[in-house]
Amino acid sequence: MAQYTCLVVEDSPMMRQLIVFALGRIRHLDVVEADDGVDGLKKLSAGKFDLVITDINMPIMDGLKLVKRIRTDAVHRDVPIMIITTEGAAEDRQRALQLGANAYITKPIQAPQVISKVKELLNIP
Amino acid sequence: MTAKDDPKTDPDDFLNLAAKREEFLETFFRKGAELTDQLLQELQVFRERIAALEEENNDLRLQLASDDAIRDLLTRVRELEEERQSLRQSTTDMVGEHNNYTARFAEMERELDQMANLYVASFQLHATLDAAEVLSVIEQMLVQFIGAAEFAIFLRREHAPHPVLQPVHVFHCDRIRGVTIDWNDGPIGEAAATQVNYIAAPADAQRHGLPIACIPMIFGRDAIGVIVIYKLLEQKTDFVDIDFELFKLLAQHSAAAIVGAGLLARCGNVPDSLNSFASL
Repeated sequence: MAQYTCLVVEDSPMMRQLIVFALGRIRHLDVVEADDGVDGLKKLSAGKFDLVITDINMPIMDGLKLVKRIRTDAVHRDVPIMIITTEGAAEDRQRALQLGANAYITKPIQAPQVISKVKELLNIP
Repeated sequence: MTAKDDPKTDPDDFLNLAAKREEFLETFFRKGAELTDQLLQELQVFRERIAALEEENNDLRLQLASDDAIRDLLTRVRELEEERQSLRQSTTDMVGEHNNYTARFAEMERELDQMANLYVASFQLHATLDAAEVLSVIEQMLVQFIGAAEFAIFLRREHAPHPVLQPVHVFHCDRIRGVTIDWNDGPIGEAAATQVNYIAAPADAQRHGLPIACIPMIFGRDAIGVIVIYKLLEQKTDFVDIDFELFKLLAQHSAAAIVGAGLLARCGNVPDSLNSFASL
């Protein structure tokens, strides 16, 4: 039985599949997938999530706008947010963290790194 | 005859004799008393000496008992020390084994990670028969999985007397558009002609504006094109193990995916999947 639910917002099906594959190794974690920021907001409004993982560069609504929206959402404003992006510049990281992201990981990802950070954000030992 | 008349019993002599006897007796008793005192003193000394010897004897007995106890304790300490050494060795062995397991676990994690990457890449590469989507999947692999910031996909074009390579998909390197590369010319042409990957040290190659990696796409016995990476993402400084596995996968599978999509496009229409399988 799942104790945690994570929303993965990523426009690349390959990367989404890889992230979901990695998260599948965390017990009691359910994953819901979204294609972009707008799809992510729709999925958020339809459920209760313990963690949001999002890319930055996405069509329709990018990840930073999604972070801003989540931080003003009555239900999910305290949900931890992890950014997984190709943007490796220090100012991009700083901006995302200032907007309210809790963790920032650059691509290409390594599954152990993602798993470790997710566990940290969800306080899973 | 009386004593007075006897010259041998002269009263004076008698008196003298009595006095001498008295004196003798007095001396005798005094010396006897002195001797007794001396004997008593010596007796006391002997008693004290005996007491001291007894005390010393007790001490010696105690010491002997104590020595035995110390011997026992030393034996016990030695045994405990041996036990401690044994436990220490066991702990060291266990720590070593634990480290070994940890290293093996980390190795398995890495391999699982690599397999996940390869599985997802392969799955996505063959999940479409649309040429544009195949190129998009290759692009995603290069950007998301390998960390390429600038790259181009060159395809082989037949041209007399030798084939040439022309870019069909360019990502963030517009300078490559319209370029034609001769077969066997430079690292790109050589990768196509030899069908051997060309991998340079990223920092050096980027500094000189040269390709970092040229991956020939091989279908059957022929190279149908070359994937060329010119620049890596800022956070990616060098290639890692999984990249080389992905290069192998790209070399072997991307060509098949492109050729398959090309053949299907030449058919003009996409056959109904179920019907096409039923005819097999």
